[in-house]
Amino acid sequence: MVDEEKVRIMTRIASYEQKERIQEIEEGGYYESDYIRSRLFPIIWSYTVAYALLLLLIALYHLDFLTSSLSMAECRELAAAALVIYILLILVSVFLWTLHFAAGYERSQKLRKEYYGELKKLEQYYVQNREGGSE
Amino acid sequence: MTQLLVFRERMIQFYQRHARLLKLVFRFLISLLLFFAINREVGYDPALRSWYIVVGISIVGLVLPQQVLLFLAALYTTAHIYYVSGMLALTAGLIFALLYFVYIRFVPEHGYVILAVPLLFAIRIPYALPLLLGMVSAPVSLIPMSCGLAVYKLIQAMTVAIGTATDDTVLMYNQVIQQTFSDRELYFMIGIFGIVMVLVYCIRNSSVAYAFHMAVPIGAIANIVLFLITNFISDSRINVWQLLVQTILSAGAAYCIQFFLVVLNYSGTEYLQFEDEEYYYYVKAVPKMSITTPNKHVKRFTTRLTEEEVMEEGLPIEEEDFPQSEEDI
Repeated sequence: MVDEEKVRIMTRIASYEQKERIQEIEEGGYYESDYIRSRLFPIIWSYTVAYALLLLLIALYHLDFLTSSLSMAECRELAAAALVIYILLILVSVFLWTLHFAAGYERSQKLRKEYYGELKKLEQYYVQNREGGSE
Repeated sequence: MTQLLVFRERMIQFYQRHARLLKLVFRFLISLLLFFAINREVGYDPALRSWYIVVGISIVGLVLPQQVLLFLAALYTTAHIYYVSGMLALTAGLIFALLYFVYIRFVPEHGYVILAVPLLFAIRIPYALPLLLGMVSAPVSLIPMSCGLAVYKLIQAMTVAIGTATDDTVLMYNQVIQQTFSDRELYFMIGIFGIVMVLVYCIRNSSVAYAFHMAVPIGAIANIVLFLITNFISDSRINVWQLLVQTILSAGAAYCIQFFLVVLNYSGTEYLQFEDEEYYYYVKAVPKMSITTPNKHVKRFTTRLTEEEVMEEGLPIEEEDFPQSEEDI
């Protein structure tokens, strides 16, 4: 016989175990610092590539100026300015994305609590049934 | 109003019965429209313009994950531009790559907002974008919306440059970049769309009665007023009648789309599989309805039929059915 109450609990658990949600639930088990750190590295790498592409676009735009004879001092100044802008860009983006991931971590903690609550209900259901069966 | 809600419930039931097929059909239609819109703007390569290529790419987009549509659209656009100018194709490719690494890689669903810009411009309802985003999204969607507008203006500048330039050199690239980023219309549009989107979002989320239904009309009015003000301030020379008609059509389209998006979001059927010691379970979880649709069969009750009506009905006549005198009444 199919037990409706058990199917309801298992359906809710299965709903949590949908692909995207189970990943979010598992990530809620990390420490917050590890969770945020693991996400910041791809961002830093992506933004570095994006900055390189942006520099290429800017260099193409000012190709005439760059191909004219630039002194070493001017080249060093340009390189220093590009590096400073890059560091500022990375710092600002890391700050903003940290806020975003902190909110995501809180969400995954909440989801994790709900999921384990449902698992506990199922466990209690099995215990009650076992006790009822033995009586 | 009840009729509208009943119609909505019937749509939900129809959608739930055929959800998988309908999603495929919608994705196919949107892909088709998108590639036709791209052809309209930058359709230089006659081989890529052909309808079977467009249909073929749309079908390929169905099989692959949704995020791949954005990649296909970028590739298709770049391929068209490459047919006439290698330099501009390189520019387009670099800019699409830049957008991907900065933003779309981390928030792939916002890529659809960028795709929606050329699509809505092609079907002449561009003002639906801020109205719709204000209803279904958060103000952070201003970022992909601005990117989409900038990319659209960039492509328009490329078509102008391709039409007028004689050499495929860096000068063409400079001309395109200058024309795009010195175009005040782009910044006005980003500003106005941003204000309209935030306004619609705030009204939608307010606790005022009927706020949800007032948000789109108020956003549309704000859109018209703001564009008229910029027309007055700058020398944009906007066609006022075109603005009015397009805004009304955009408001109607935005209202219909959000009506179905919000409704269908909450009516999504889930298909689940799990097992225990005794059974395998294949569960289809269908969200409950808020209004029951009437399956009504109207039955008319009359007090008494006249003799003539009974004759017409072909019913047996019994004298006691009809009052013979005033005393019977």
